[in-house]
Amino acid sequence: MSVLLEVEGLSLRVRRGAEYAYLLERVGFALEVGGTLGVVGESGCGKSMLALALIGLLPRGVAASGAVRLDGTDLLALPERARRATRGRRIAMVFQEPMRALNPTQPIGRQVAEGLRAQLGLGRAEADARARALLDRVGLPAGVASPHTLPHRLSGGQRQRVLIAIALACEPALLIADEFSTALDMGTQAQVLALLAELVAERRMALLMITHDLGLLAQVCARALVLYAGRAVEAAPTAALFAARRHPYTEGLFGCSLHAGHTAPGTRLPTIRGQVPPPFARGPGCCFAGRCGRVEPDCLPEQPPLHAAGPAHRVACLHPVVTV
Amino acid sequence: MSTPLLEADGLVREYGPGRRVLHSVGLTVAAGETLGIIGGSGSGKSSLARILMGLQRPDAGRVRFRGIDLYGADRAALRAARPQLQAVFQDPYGSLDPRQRVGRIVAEPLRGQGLDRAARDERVRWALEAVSLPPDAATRHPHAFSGGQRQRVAIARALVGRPALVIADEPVSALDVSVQAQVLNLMLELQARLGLAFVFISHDLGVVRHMAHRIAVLEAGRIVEAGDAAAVLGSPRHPATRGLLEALPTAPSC
Repeated sequence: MSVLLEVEGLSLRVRRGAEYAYLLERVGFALEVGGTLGVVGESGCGKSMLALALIGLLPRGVAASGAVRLDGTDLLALPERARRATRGRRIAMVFQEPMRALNPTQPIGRQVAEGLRAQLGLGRAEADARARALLDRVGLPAGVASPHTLPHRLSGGQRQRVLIAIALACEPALLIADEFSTALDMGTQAQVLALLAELVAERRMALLMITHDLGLLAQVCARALVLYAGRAVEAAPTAALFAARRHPYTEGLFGCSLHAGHTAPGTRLPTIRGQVPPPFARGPGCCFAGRCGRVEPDCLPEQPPLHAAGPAHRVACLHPVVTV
Repeated sequence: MSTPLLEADGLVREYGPGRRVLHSVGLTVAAGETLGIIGGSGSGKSSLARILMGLQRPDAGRVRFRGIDLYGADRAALRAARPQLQAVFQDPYGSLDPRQRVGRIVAEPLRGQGLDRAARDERVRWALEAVSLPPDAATRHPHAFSGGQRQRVAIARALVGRPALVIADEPVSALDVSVQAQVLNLMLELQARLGLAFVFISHDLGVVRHMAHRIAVLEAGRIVEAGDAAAVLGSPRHPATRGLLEALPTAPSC
């Protein structure tokens, strides 16, 4: 299968006085056309920063280096004007909070049509007609919501559907979804996810999903990338990861998830002691060493590189978990 | 049988004519047990939580805590019992006053209890220790803490009055899985140590399954199924329960 997105050595650096720190450090992965990748990790590991770097909406003061190649073109090397042309058109994103991501004063039809007019240059009538068809497709037909409806009249799940319609409007090659269903209850979450998976398959879009929910990861993504403290610590097909985790951090995450393991009710859940070190407090060695139960002296001098741990499975750990 | 700790019956809540969100809901909670309440959005979970917390008068029905009517006339009895009935909310950012120091936030339920300052400080120290926060946490503001630590502050506030019952509305939904596990462990540990009872309201079945002894399923403002947790989740009888179970993401079988 042909590669759509190739991220190589992506680093995001911030400065505080004379000091530098990395929000992401030499992260690399590839996503093929129509592929699905889930990015997991705790808050503060750099998941959302990765998404913002891909779509080119990094906050001021964050410097990116490395390469983000979409169909072979390095987006980081493009001038902002050219970059803007890819946003929404080639790469689109569905954000976390449906209420804040929508304009509360604009009818939903116009918000869907906006991208069509700006990016594809369609006239108002054609854009409106397409917007209506898109709202139909995401499960908001005329009886449920009209293009003239304002966002506050809609439920959380319906707003999320509007966001999907907006993201899909220009038929992007890559869709990024950042924790996009966390705010929804499980029934609605399941419906919206099913819709997303269907559309991704139908339009041969690639999907990069950021989540802390391992259940969702299993349901939607063929491959998984585990980020910890700005570094890629494990990458594998999702099924392989569910069968056997190699990095102690991944093992820890799976251990405390109520959706991945089979913990007996009422018993003490395994936890990962401590917290993700903030960017300016990360040492030269393995970033997980301070919280790891398997730490050895050789973990401390330098960050272990990613190495093969199975078919298409890589792990950055000198003393990986071995399951028998 | 002894009187239950909390007893609610015939609870009705309406937001205007024809917009009834609770239809005659009744439930009981015994000392030391956890009652899980599950339901989708719009099922009435949050309205029920607010009524059980004593924050929202129902349009009909009664809630009695230790036999005292939460919305009744006996204000003095209610004031005396109030510290023993506490609440923890979903959002550890929104539920703590950003301008107050943690010591003061945690001491809030003790106000009007006739304790002197030394006794109050002692209780705050005990509550912070119970949730594994350092004693100097009392002098800091909420913004100095992470999400999980803030939820610990909220739990310390609930604990300070030595409650018998804590109503927790989505207490871990906003937290990372690693922090979620810590907070759930803390709640289980406090239950074992102090004999606390919980009403645990959540849309997350995995979490409720882990925490609850009994489960009530709320749909469109009615309790449609209730019973022993293992029975309700193991062999659900109502379509609403089955729907919730189907939506639960599961690990691939491999």
